[in-house]
Amino acid sequence: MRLAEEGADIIAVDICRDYGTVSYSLATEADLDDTVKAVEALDRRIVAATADVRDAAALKSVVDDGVAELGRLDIVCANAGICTVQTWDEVTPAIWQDTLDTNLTGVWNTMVVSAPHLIAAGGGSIICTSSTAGIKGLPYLAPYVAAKHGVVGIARTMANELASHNIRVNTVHPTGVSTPMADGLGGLEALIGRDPNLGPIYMNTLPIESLDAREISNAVLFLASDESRYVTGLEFTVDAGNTIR
Amino acid sequence: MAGRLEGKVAFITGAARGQGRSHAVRLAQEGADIIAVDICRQIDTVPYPLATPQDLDQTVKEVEALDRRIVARQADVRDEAGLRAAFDAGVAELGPVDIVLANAGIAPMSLREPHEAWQDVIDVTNALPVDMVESVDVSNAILWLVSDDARYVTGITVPVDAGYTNKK
Repeated sequence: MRLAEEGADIIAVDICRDYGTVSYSLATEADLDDTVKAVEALDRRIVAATADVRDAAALKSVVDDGVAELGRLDIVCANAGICTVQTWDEVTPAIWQDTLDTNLTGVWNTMVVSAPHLIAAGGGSIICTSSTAGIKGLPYLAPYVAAKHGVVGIARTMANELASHNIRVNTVHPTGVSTPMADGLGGLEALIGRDPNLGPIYMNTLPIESLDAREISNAVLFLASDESRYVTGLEFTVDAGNTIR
Repeated sequence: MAGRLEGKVAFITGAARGQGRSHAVRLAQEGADIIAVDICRQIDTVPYPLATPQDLDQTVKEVEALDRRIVARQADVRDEAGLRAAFDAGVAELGPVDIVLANAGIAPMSLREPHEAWQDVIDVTNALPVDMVESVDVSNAILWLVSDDARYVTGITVPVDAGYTNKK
């Protein structure tokens, strides 16, 4: 919505179904429809499709179809992700695999199917959603932390490999954001209660506990816009000072 | 459309020319009033000419041309009393300061290498295919950081370096 407010047309992808390994509800078709309505209410065009970022072929066909309909691709937000809370010894192979497949391989797939369109457009901006968990070793989120650190690595590499095409690649690193994903973090407080020494890792520096999604969108908008045309390979924290503590 | 910094006051050091002037003008375009400070005289150890009072006058003209107010003073950032007097003069006229750009600086190294040698260094080191960024690109990053869009962004380092640090 934030990018559409500033004039962008949108290609929107979501899996729109639940994972067996994820305790909170993932998005539904109705949610994706709401996104479509919200963008159209801004008089922008939107092509929305249900696809799994783990399925590169499906993702490629959605992006290719979207570009065919809207004409070009300038901005890519590799944002899809899941998060589960558990101690290290409760990480099952399925949780590990689902998280890495979605949060890391999914970002990779998104870049790979999109980059040819950005090259064809003569340049562009890729913004990958990482996290404070991509910078710090947040306890009880091991697979999530692994994937979010991995996102930084591939973003840095792609920033170098795609630079000659005038394509910028940056990561955004939010602290806690008030979204449905936060419902899945409910177990965190009890776990920290068992080892209060770890609590401060989650504390922000500015006096606010969690951010509205729009605060992150503002950063994405800056990184997507020409106002950041020479900003690339950057870890862009929107974290109320969480990572400087 | 209302500017992104409507009603704000920005205190900018090193504002007579270069990036400081660019920031003053860019922030003024978005509605900010400016308190501009520059030393406007030479420092002996610096091999290139520093800004002049005429440069600072030019910043004043460019900000006023945008219908924003500006209080400009000659002051040395190494002199706390002088800097405070300039700051206070600005606040007396424009009201409390919302934004501070600690921008003044010198680079007392030799920039006198042959242009081609400099060009070779730049060509090799930037990732994006540009030799140098423009002052306005730095100003745009600053504009974002000082705007309400960034109200929960703090403690961050934002290279505007065409991928230079990432490539190292």
